[in-house]
Amino acid sequence: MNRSPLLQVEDLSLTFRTVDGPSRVLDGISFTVDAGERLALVGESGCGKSATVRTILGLNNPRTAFETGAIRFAGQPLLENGGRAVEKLRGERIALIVQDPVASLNPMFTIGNQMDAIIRRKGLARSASAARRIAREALAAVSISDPERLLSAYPHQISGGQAQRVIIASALLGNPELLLADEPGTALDVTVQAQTLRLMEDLAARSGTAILLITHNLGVVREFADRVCVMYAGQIVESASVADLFSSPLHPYTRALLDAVPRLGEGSRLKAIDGSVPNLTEAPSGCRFRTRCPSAMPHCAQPAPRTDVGNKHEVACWLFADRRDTQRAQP
Amino acid sequence: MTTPFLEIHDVSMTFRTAKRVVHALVDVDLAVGRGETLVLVGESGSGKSTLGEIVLGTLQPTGGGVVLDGRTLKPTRTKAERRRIQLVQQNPMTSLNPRQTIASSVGLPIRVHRLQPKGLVATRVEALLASVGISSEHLRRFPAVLSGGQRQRVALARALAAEPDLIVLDEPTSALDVSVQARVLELLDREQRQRGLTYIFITHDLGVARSVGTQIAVLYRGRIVEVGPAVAVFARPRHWYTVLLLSSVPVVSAAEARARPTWPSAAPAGAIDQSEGGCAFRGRCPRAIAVCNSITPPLVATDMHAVACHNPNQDVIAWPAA
Repeated sequence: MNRSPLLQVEDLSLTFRTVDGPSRVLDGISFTVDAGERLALVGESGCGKSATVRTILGLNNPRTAFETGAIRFAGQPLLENGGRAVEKLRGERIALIVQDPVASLNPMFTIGNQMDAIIRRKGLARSASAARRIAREALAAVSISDPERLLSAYPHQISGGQAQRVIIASALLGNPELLLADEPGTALDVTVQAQTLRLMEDLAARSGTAILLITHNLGVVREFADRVCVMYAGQIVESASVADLFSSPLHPYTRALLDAVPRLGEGSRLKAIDGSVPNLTEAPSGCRFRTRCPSAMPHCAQPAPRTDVGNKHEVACWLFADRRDTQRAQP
Repeated sequence: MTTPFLEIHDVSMTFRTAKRVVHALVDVDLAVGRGETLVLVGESGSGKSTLGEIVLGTLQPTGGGVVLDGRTLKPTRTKAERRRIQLVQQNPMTSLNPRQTIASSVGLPIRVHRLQPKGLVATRVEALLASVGISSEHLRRFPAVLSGGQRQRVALARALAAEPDLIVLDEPTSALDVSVQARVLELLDREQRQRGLTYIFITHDLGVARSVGTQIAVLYRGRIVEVGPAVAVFARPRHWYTVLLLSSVPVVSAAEARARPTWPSAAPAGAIDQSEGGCAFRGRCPRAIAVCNSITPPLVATDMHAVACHNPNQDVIAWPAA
């Protein structure tokens, strides 16, 4: 089991030039996604989750965004040569789903028309009839009961849940190796969101597609992902298997975030996190959570060491600096 | 709940367009006691915001009416009646006037309703903003410089400025991050206790519903399908739509995941037809029976807990203590 990862992000930083000065929205993040794996990046607004996705896809404006570090997809570097390499991968080997499925569809064309364009662009069919057949099969695979009717419909004629299925089916056409899913289904009802996640899970498992899931919802992470990275203000503060993170969260931010989630059980007391996310043009040195952290110490102004407490559960916090490589019972 | 503070009597709302007739609300009957929170849950299109607008008086129901504190509210409300019911909306980015300073926005209800002598408005605004945790340095600033959480607190201060008895909160925390949401919910709870406020709280988030609600009403396509004390509705959800909602919530603890009902995925055995009438949920219901096709189930109460279902769920959920 020593395969190289499908996606490898190494010490990636991203700085935007703004009128208030440079804003370092990603501050040395590293993570990997193995083939077929489901990794979640979780965090609140402005933590850099979506910036990570845009950087992987090479969608940053080169005039205002400066990237350092490395991104490798199947061993191939993506940031070199002005990010030229990713252009060939986008939509074919790396697919993207964004938050609002209805807004992702062009209101001027039928679903069939749009899927036809995707299928031909991906080179999966040459003729209109072959493309239609592939589209029909793809929609049937996402449990659309009457694909032919849906293909003739315009986006405004279908429901949000159906639009979501169309988007998932289209993204997974041609079995991409990696699917970037940025808050999928968040704009939809909770019942549809649950369906969306199940569907993505099923299809990805069938095609062996790895998923990088971007979400702010810890419940979604727990139910969907294999591993998780918790982000705060452009830094990854903790990463672990989903089982480990939810049974023993270590970083003060992770713990605070979990305490803020409303529970279904009785006597739920929500705890807010004091203070607010720092403005990244004047981000605190070292650990960026230290200005709000109840356990902050003087040396938190130095970059926090990443400590592996066992089972690839890594935490970037001085509280755990002495626990390096200590053995821990396997769950 | 002895004497209800707000009663919603048989409210119906029918929208007619050129092509079709939409029954947004059908015979909705609800009541909430003073100082309590009535939570309206349901998916998009269930009619929860429409009901909020009817309570607020910005929309006239096509049937039924609203009774506040024992007095039926007429279609055209008096200024005093309008003051007593205020609104906090979902999107804090659009609910404040971008051209008005924070002080001016929050001061508006005070000036309109002449709640303070002119010289004291500024002091009152400052006190209101302080109570929601917005410092006085923001008074002369515009909404653009505030974060989403701060704007929502300003919107709440503006609602409180009118000295209302009831606030309609339409998804007040849906656009906020969870850590910010926790602070806004905390604040709402404190203001409710201090001022004896009654809340109509509209949300699609069952976790939020559980943490704020005394009463919960579940809406499905314009009808109340289940209503009762929050504790009872969560522990003994009787309508299958409530069960579906509870089974769909992504939870963060293994204990909650174990307690949460599993949705019976087996399709009902050929009992469903598409004729008019009958239960609106039958097409999605795992326990639909023949009668569900023909007769719309009436809302039947046992104790304080009512359900509109011919074949209700009987299972009890033992949620872990949070």
